[in-house]
Amino acid sequence: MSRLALIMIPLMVSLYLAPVQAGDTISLNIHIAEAPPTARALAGYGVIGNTGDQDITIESVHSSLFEAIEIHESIVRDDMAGMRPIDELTIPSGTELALEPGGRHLMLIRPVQPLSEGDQVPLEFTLKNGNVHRITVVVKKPDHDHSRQHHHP
Amino acid sequence: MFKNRILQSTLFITGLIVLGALFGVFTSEYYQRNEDPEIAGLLWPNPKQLRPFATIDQDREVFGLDRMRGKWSLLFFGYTHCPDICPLTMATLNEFYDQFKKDNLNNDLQVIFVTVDPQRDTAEMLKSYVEYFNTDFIGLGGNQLQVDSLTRQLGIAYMLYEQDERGDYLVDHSASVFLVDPEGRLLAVFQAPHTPATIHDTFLEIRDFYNSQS
Repeated sequence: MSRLALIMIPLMVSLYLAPVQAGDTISLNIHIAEAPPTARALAGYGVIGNTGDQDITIESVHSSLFEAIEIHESIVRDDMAGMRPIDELTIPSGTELALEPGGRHLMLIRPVQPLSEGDQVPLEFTLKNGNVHRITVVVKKPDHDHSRQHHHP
Repeated sequence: MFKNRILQSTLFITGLIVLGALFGVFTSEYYQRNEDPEIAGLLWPNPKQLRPFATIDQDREVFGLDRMRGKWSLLFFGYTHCPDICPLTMATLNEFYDQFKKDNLNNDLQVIFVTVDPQRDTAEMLKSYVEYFNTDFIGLGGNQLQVDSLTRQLGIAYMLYEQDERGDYLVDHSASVFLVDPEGRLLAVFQAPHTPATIHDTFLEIRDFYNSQS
């Protein structure tokens, strides 16, 4: 092994690990809603909290089990339903942000394998400050009792 | 004698006028009640009669107006790449339908998902999609012309966006659920947001009203 590699490998490992250990005040309570086996897009819901005194902005989300992940918002206006991508998601300090059916959600595009209830999915949230948070979330049967559709009769 | 006759005629005419007025009041009340039963979404007294159309179901069979006759059809228009609103509505329809089935009320009812994105939604995908929610549900597609032979008649608006670099695209579509009666007429439109309970109650109310009219 070359001397360069001896220096570079620990350096790369430490760079890789550093963001995970950074002290952000974000809490990620996320799950993925199970979808039909042939679904090419799934939705991620949950609550993202920020207990700190700084706003937190999520710039991108990635997973090795999906080709792409976007943050979307569903909109129903004049009887037309649609989704709009959100470039970044800011969680103001001391607040919680809900990702819920019929509202803001993660759109997980093109799963590399069919997923069903109980499967675990690694997610990587990249913040605007450069920090990366890696979590593992579970695929759950959708629970529609808590959807926005019920909150706004 | 002569006076008596005038009196009789006057009484007779007055009686006719009173009867006519009463008849008028009753009939106008009767028609008013039937023209405006005050059920949300009901298109009465002028439900739209559908013309023949030809879509393809999840088993690759032709699905036209003949398969709606004699049945109540609840239709929702969406696309299977839709991860949020469509599964949410399908799950709501399933919850409603399950309750209906438990109460043995589903014999003349079919729930239909129509894709407005048939280019991506093949029969196989539709089959897997609708049957995930309920094996009784029907999925309709075909080519865009076949799909439009139904959407145009119901006034379904939808819009396909431009493809992104992955070849994916978003679709805007109607959020309503459409009710076609056993004569093939668009009888009601249920607007979002939907809940199993509102679909259940409104549908029963409309079906009772429909039966009272025949």
